[in-house]
Parts: sequence; C-alpha cells; structure tokens
Amino acid sequence: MSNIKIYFSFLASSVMSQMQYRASIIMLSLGQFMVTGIEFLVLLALFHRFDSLLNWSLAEVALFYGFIHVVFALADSLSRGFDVMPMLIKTGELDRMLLRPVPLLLQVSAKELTIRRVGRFFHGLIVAIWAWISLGIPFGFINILLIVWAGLSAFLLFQAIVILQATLCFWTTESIELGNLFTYGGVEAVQFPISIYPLAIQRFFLFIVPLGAVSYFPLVHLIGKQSVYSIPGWSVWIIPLTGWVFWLLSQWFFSLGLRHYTSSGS
Amino acid sequence: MIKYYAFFLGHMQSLLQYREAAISGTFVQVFFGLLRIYLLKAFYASSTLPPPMPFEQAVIYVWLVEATLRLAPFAPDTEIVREIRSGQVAYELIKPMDLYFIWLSRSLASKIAPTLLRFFPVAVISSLFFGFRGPSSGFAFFSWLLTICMAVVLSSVITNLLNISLLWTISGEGISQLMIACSYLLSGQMIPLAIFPDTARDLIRYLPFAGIIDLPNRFYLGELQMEHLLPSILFQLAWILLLWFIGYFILRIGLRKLVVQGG
Repeated sequence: MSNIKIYFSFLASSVMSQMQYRASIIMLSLGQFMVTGIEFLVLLALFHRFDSLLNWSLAEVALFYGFIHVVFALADSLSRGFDVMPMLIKTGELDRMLLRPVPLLLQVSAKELTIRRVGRFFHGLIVAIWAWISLGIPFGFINILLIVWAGLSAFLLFQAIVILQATLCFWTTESIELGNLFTYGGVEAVQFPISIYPLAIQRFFLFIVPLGAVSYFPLVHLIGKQSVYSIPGWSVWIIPLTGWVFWLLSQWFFSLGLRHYTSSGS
Repeated sequence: MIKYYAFFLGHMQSLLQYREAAISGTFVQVFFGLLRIYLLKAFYASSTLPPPMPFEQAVIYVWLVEATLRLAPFAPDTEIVREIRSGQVAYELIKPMDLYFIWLSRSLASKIAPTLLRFFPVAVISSLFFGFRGPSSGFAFFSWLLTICMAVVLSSVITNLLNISLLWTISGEGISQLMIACSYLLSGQMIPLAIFPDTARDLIRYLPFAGIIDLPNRFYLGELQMEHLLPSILFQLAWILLLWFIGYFILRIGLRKLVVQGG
C-alpha cells in the first residue's frame, strides 16, 4: 500500500472513532461555528463605528478574514498529532510508532482529523463566499485556481510551523508555546490586509513567517486593488511557493531532530 | 472560614510556581496587544465619524485588558474536571465543608495568582515602549483597585458556575468554548465596549461580564467618576449575590442526584 493510501486510511479511522460520539461532535462543531461567528461580530462592530479600515471596505476585509479562517481550520484539524508530541515522547508511544514500516512524520500528521473544526471552517467559508460575491469577483477558473493555490500554500505554512514546533520537542521534551504565537498570532494578524500594520510587522509576516505574503498578494490581485508593494502580476502565482519551501524545510528539520532523538525510556 | 482560606492559599502557592509560563505568556500578550492597537489605529486613522474614545485612552484600555486577561472566567478548573471524571470528588464530599466554598476558594486563587504573575511584566513593558499610562488620578487608581477586587469575586462565582455545570456535562469542553467567546466579546477583551453600536453597548454593560473588565477599566481611565463608584460596586455586588445563589442552589440539586460510580 502506498503511503498516501495509508495516510488517508489513518484519517478515516480517526473520523470513524470520533463519530462514535455523534451528538457530542455535532454540538461541539455547532459551538465552534457560533464561537467563531462571535469574532465576526467584532469586525462588524468596528466597521459600524468607523466606516472603513484605511481604504479597505468591509467586504474586502471579509475576504482576507474568511480565507485565513478556512485555511487555519483545515490546518488546525490536522495538527493534533504534533500538539501531543511531548506526550508521545514521554509515554514511549513514539518508540512504538518508530517500529512501524511507515514514515514517522506521516503517522504523526495522520494521528487525528479533528472533526469539530468544521465549525470554524464553515464560518470562514460563508464569510469568504459572501465577500467574494459582494465584491463581484467573477467565479472564473483562473480565480478559483489562484485562491486554492494560495490556500494550499498557507495551509502548508501552518503545517510547517506546527512541525517545527513539534520537532523542538526532540530536544526539550516539553512543548514550546512559542509556536502558538505564530499560528494563532498569524491568524489574528493576517485576517486583515497586512498593509494596515507598521512596516516591522508587515516585514515579519512577509519575510520571516510569510503568512502575510501568501494571503495578501493573491487576494489583492483578486480584488483588483493596487498593492502597496509594486510587483509584477505573474508573481502572485510564484509567491505561494514559499509555503512549499517552508514545508520542505520543516520536513528536513524533522528528520534532523529525529536523528537526535533518544527514547525517554518509559 | 480558616479551612477555606487554607484551600485558597494552597492553590495560590501551587499556581504561583508557573513563572516560566507567565514569561512566555507575557510575550504572547504583548504581541496580541500590539496587533489590536495597530488595528484600532488604522480604524481611527480612516474614520470621519467622531471616535467613541480618544485613541490614547483606547491604547491604555487594550493594555489593561492584556495585563488582566487571566481575570476572565474562561473555563472550569482543570483539576475539578479530573476529580469529577475520576470520581475523586466523592472524597471532597466527605470533608466537613461545603463543596461550593471549596470550589470558590480554588476559583479565587485561579483568578488572582495568574493575574498577579502577568500584570506587572505586561504593564512594565507596555508602559516603557507602547503607550501604557498610569491611572488618571488618585481617585481613579483607588476606584480601579476596588472594582478590580470585586471583579475577581464576580469572575470567580461565574467560574464556579462552570465548575458546577460539570456535574452534568462531565467534559466541560462545550461550555468553556461558549464562555470564552462570551467573555471575550462581552467583557471588552476583544475591543473596548465603547466601540460597539450604542444600543448594543448599553445593553452589554448590564451583563456581569462588563463588570469584570470594562467597568474597572473605565474607572482607571477616569471616564467614571466619584458619583459612579457606589452604583458600580452595587452593580457588581448584585451580580455576585445572584450568581452565587444560583450556583449554590444548582449544586444542591446536582449533589442530590449525584451517583458515585464504583471504587
């Protein structure tokens, strides 16, 4: 069986085991839908009080907001295995996983597909679709392809961050909370166009954790606005490649960490 | 009374050990505070309408929120969740004490200790670099301190309601999700309540959440004056008493139907 097949069968079994508690899953998903909906109320309140955000309208900001929430929901639903990395090391579960003839990284990333994240996912999707329609962006093939391409890149970036964070556990055993600063902090920051922030924060999300780069340029292109950075039009297709680069780097770092791993002995 | 104080003190001391967590927490909170402030700055810069509060005050408000973030009633006590799952809560019931007040003392400690650990680092960093300022007057400081103390109790009785709800929900996951959202939105933690549409704002200010963050902050900023102090304290007190009675009553009902499973 190919690794990809194994990956999906792991995820399928995770979904099935969660579906044993169907009522609980439905309620938690609905709960999350409402909770993330409350975040959108704040956005509405801000636009009600101040009629615009610099030169951005509510619908434009909503596209950024919806985009990153959809992507983060997907990434977050697949990051559970990396979150429990310290536990895997401490309990010796990781040693057992190493015995299996399947790459460790694949096993960890397929540990759980957290279903209840669909709450955030649908919240983001509804906001994004509403924004898309009210901005009058045509539903052409190229446009859809661009947003999916950008989304995939942002997804890989989020994954890379949690993989890097989990890899550090090979040295520290304890989890490092700093990664949350980049994931949750990243969502918080790039749910608005990054050009509203001071230069230092813009550069951070363009060059260091390029979540801003992979969302800002493609979305600005879709909206048809002038970017504050003058870049050629074709580059909106190239910039999302940074997600792939980060992801490959994180894979390399993970295997480096694994070589340094010594079992905790339990 | 002494017995409950011992519970409070014991929990306080164990919580005060988490200093490293407080340091990384400070970083996170300063970062989030900055994002919020720059967002507000961008909104302020583009608005033609009169702002609900001066920008400098909004900055101070945001930093107060970050410094007192852990005051809010977010989730049931994780240890109580474990006790209820494992059935250990039965041992608590054997003690010649009232479960409500055992849990309340723990809640009080879980509000005070993390807030003490985080308030000063966040306040120092933000006042050195990012525009946080001291209270507008001596009275502002005094009234802020007084209302913050009331806020601690108010938040604790709400947290205790969450603890009690565990008797029915066991995991407490759903309710804490909802609570975090309500608390963020309605206490002023996400954006100052003054920014909400006027009618919504006036309604929200009657809810207990506003008494935890927004009310003390308004005294700190000098927006609320001497004549507001007594009504504000009474407002907090009324919610404390009401939620206390509700919690106490529900706990009685819960304990009556409590089944301790096996040994």
